[in-house]
Amino acid sequence: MVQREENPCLRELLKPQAHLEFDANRQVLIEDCLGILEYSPELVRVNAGDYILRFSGRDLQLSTMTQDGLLLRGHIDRLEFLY
Amino acid sequence: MLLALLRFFRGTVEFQVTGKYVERFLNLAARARIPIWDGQREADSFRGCTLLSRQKELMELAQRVQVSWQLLQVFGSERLRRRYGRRLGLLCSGGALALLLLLSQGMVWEVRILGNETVPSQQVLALAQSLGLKPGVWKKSLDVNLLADQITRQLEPVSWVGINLLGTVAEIEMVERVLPPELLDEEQPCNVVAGRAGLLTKLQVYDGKTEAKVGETVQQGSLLAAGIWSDKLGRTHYGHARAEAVVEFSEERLISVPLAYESPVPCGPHRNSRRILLGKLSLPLSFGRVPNAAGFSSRLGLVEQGLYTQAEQQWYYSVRNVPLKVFGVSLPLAIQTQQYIPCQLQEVFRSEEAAKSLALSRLEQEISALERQEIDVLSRELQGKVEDGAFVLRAKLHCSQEVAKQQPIVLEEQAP
Repeated sequence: MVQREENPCLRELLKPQAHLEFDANRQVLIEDCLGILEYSPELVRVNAGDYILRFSGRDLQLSTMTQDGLLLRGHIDRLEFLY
Repeated sequence: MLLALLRFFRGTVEFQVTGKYVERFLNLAARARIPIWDGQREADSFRGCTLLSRQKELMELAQRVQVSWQLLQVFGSERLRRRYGRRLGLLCSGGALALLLLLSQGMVWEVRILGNETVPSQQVLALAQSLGLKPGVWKKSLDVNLLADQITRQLEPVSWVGINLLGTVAEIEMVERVLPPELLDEEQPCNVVAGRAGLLTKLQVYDGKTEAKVGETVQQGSLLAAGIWSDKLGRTHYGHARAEAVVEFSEERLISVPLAYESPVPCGPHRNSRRILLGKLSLPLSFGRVPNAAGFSSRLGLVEQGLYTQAEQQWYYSVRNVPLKVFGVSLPLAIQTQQYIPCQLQEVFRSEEAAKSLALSRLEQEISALERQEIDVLSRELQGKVEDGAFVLRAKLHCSQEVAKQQPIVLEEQAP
């Protein structure tokens, strides 16, 4: 029986990556994220798998949250990718 | 909008969770495919909305992650059911209203006239009413093709009528007859004469013998082109003279606007009286004493306005009928508002400038009337001054008009 070795590059390519869609700095749709790590009106940290998305701003509201993604509304002043 | 409607029918709840592990609670809810929206974070609590049907699952999750759950409000159809479910009378009335609305969809509530230019809408409406098409009739009882035929036959200036039933509105669409131009009797000899006096500035004779010259002054009825002429050999010819002639003339207008005039001035609070109109029935909605609640016309819009005197008191009144509409559909009901304002006739003064602008606007109206008679105003000379307490505007208008007019020649054998 032949054992098929997994190609790490292919696995990397097929791994779902977080998809971000901004509407100016007022709204961001985050798809394929792994959940919320921290949530306050000034700071939202989202687990995106390999990194953490850190949104900071004012009046941040979790407008919608489903398994597929979340919609964040408010004044987004800054976005950081933390590894 | 659609999402809001769906949520309304499925029922929604607003909740609040308080505790250290709010984020964990949200992640678990997302993993369990429980939708959460309108989230708001406040200190250590989170406020959001979810579907009523998923409330239990969320409560279990809250218990599992050790956050305290609090139900704040229930929205949507479920809330209405909880609030009004036991009130049988209200339910029955609602059902009856819904049934009435459903039944009313089978009736004609409004008749509209489209496409008429010279035929008055009131005449068409009256005819349609006499044939059975009026507000309140069942749509199924109408034979629109027959009705359209009857209206076409009975309305002389109309060449085509179509009736469309759109919801509760019956639209009578019509095309008015275009009369063909009068045929010229080429055999009939005729002259061309001037239709009015003036200075002839253009004369183009197409048929006949030219009898006038450009630059001459012509009187009304002066011969411009003759339909009878003799050739060099002395033979007499008869023809149908045709010509185009333009004369210029002057017209004077005197417009006087008094600087002082009597006008009704309100001298007390107005009184309103409302009535509901259902066909010929008129029911009062308010019982306040009004000076004259006599029956006014039930046609829609502004019915009447003016001044009248009662017991040495003058009143300015206006009566307006507004149709009642439900979701944009006109019902056969109308609200009549009669407004009465007590007033006194007082002498009011207007400034010279105001009088001048009024006089000028009246002059413009007169010029428009002239233009409707196909008279072009080429220039105007205006002179205005105050005379005997009035602003008098003298206008000298220099005009031009096409005046060629055919006049048949009665020959001896044709004479009666």
